[in-house]
Amino acid sequence: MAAAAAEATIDGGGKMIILISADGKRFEVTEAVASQSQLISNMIEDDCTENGVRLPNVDGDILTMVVDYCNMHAGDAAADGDTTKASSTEELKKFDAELVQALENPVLFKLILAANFLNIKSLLDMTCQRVADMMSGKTPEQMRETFSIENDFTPEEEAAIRQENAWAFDD
Amino acid sequence: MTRKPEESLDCAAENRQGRRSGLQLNDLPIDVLGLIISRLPIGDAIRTGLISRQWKDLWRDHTMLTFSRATFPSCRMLNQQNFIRRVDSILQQHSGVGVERMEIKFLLRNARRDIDRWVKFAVASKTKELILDLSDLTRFFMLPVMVFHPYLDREGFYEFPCQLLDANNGGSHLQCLQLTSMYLKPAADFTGFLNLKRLNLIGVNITDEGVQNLLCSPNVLEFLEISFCRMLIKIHAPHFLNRLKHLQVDCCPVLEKIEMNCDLATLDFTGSSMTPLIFATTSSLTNDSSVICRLFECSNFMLLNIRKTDILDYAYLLEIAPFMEKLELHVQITGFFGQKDQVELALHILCSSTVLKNMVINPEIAIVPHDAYRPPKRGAHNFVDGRDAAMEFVCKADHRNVVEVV
Repeated sequence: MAAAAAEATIDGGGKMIILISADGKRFEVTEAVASQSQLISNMIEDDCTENGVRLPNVDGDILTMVVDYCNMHAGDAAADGDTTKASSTEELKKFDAELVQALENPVLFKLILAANFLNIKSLLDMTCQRVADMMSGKTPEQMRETFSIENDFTPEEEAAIRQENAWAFDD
Repeated sequence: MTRKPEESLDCAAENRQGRRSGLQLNDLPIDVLGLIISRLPIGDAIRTGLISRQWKDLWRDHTMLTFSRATFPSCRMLNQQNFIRRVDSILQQHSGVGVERMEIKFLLRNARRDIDRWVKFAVASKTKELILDLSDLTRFFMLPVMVFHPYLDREGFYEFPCQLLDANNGGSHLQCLQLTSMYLKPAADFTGFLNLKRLNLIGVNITDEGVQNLLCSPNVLEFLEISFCRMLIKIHAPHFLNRLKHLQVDCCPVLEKIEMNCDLATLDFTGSSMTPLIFATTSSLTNDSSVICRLFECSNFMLLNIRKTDILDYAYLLEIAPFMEKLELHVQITGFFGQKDQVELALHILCSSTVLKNMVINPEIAIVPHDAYRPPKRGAHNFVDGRDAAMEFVCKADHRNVVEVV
């Protein structure tokens, strides 16, 4: 973590701000890295990051992932240097895939909540896509099973829904 | 000095973490579940309605509606009537608000009322991006169909209802519009593109006057594509298009002239090299602006349409952008059979273009399907093998190592 933060200082430049997780872990990042979060970007604009930004909704282990993600993607917005970009895009893709692929469902959902709260659109898109991929092509029964959701429909209700869009339930 | 509150938070955080360790999909906020569902094709999205009561109506706010043959894979005989019925049924169940993107891709003829209804839905739901593709062709087959079957399938062509977008009808929120295979006849007082940033017209039957009406109407266009439009003789925009940065014009067979008033960042032009491209750059073009021109020559296209072209002049490319700092010229010649005029053409481009970065010569026909146009038989009278001819005549004249024979 410290290494990632130090690296950011070198290439990102600019002011550093401190993010503080719910369990009190502190992360030092550049403003450029942090402002990928629309929430923090607004706070920077309003000049209220002076004493560190407390994120009572985000645990330290989740914030570690978020900060890693933001450090990796810090170059996205200000992309120059066409030649290096192609390879780094590949790298980013690989990094992103590895980040979400290995996560247990509850951790993935926590990461989604954090991305939603911090308003980091690309991270939210990516994590939501991961959940969508897990649902795609599945029957309602399989979806319930994948996400441990209980069926609370009566058989009549279920039949009515199936009938309304019969084509979608044909196998 | 912030230590203390942190320490006191530790304990609470631990509790919270313990409670949350079993966080479930159902615990996510409704708007996040909506984001997830909108990433599913509509069929999958509808199936989520059967997960539980909480999920029953979530799919009705789907924001990315795509309807094509692939949307209904379970229906083997998906004809026009079935397709229309299904799309209608889904749109009737949809909440009708907050649609980001709506895409309809299906071969539809004589279906004006139905398509009008869908366009009305898009306007009413404040759709930002509308893609209406009424052909069943991929881009790859557009050119051969246009060249070899110019009158194929004109029957029952849809005419896009420009008046539905007009400002006095409430206006549209469209930011991106892509139309394929239909008529477009905007009136002189058209005002439907107040928010439009990106417009793609592909295989659209539109007149010179129509294009002029579109471009003269108030707009914030940044990207314009006009491709495979077979009626278009001249693309003319007398007013300054202050936002327009990217222009793509592909394979418009009778196009004779492009005359526009804009500061382009990129121009992507495919077609006859005899087409004058005139870009009046009024004021704001600075030394920082760079224009990248990519000119692809397709010899099949030329053989069929401007066979008598014997001299190519690229000088106008330099005239269109007086402050141009970067010019990249890539030439691709496919269907090179080693005919005399092809060799001359290749040599001329090679010798006259000091900015040429790469010339690819391919004896295979790349664009026209093999059964549509038969290349002259190898060894037939007047023809020699294309690859041998390219090696012998073109490569020898290539002193900058830009020619590649594949």
